[in-house]
Amino acid sequence: MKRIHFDTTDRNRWLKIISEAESTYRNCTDEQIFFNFDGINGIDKITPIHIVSLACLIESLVGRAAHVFIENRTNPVSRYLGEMLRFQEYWAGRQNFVQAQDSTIFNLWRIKDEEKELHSRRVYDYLKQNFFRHKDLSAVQNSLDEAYYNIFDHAQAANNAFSFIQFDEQTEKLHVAICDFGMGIARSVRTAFPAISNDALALAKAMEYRFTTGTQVHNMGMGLGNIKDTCTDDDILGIISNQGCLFAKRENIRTYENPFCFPGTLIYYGLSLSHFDDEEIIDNFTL
Amino acid sequence: MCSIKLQKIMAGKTYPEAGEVLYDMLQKKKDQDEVIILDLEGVASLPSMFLNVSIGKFIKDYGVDLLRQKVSFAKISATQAERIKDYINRVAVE
Repeated sequence: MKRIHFDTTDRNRWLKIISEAESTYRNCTDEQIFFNFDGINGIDKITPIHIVSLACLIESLVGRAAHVFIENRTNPVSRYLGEMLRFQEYWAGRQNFVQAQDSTIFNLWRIKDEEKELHSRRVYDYLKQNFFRHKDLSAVQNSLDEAYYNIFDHAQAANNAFSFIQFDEQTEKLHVAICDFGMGIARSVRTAFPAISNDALALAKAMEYRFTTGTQVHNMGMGLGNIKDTCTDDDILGIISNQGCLFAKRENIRTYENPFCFPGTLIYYGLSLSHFDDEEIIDNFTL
Repeated sequence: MCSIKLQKIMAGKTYPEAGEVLYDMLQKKKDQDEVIILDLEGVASLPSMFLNVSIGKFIKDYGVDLLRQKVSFAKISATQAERIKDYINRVAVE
């Protein structure tokens, strides 16, 4: 029996635990692996980043035929995962999507190639019908489409990719996290351009307008830039991939090297929907 | 005047597939006198995977001036219009 202790919600420390567990349990056939959250006393700092990275780790371990359990059902994190997000239904029930027990959460979705347009539309319709009937939210769907396609065009993630979206009613901000345990954007860029010397620089390169690794004819190097451009002045786009980390706030881009190697790509961003314009339909628009 | 409903083109297709269909339609109609109106009713997302293989490819193959002469949009949101304008300006400078 093995146990993975999650004793912090600090983003980097959490991702380090995830990365190390993914690497440690490479051969875990029939192992019982218990996830323990007793070091975390509440769920207020559990964000979409935590959820999608955890889901990818579970998917990875289950894919290696391990038996994964969440320990101590009285711990708030364990309860949140089990009762609110219905985690067990994704693995025991092999569901790709189940509704969360909270109307502000667009629950975990196991990203499927054949459902990606459908899911982004589902998010758009849900926000439109429930919160922003008069806002133009086309950019929300657009950013999700770009992010989901990015996984299938570059990640080679072998079906281990998840999306989780949460809407904060007070701040009117949408928090999006998308994670895959695939090749990683940084590695993909460095494979195509070996002269790039580290993963942080590779992520900066991936953000450049018109930069593409050329994996698909429909790519012209605009996808990540489009996600960045959707973010308002109050929002940040973050990308963590392999040993690289990038934060973009409009045109201000900073990169760092991680003290761990993340086994894929995590993209997360916030969208301040209150800043979005009201919907105005133009009958005739000429270029 | 010829109107193309994008929602109809996109139904049941991936964005790149739908983009290729639109490109073929634009290509076939480019030598005709009529203006092509792209009707966006019911379409929210115009991601790069769609634009690159439709409008972007048309600009590459035939130039932005022909696109501006031949194509206009109907029932488009102000945000989408801004995005299309921005996209075309970026592709056109290549």
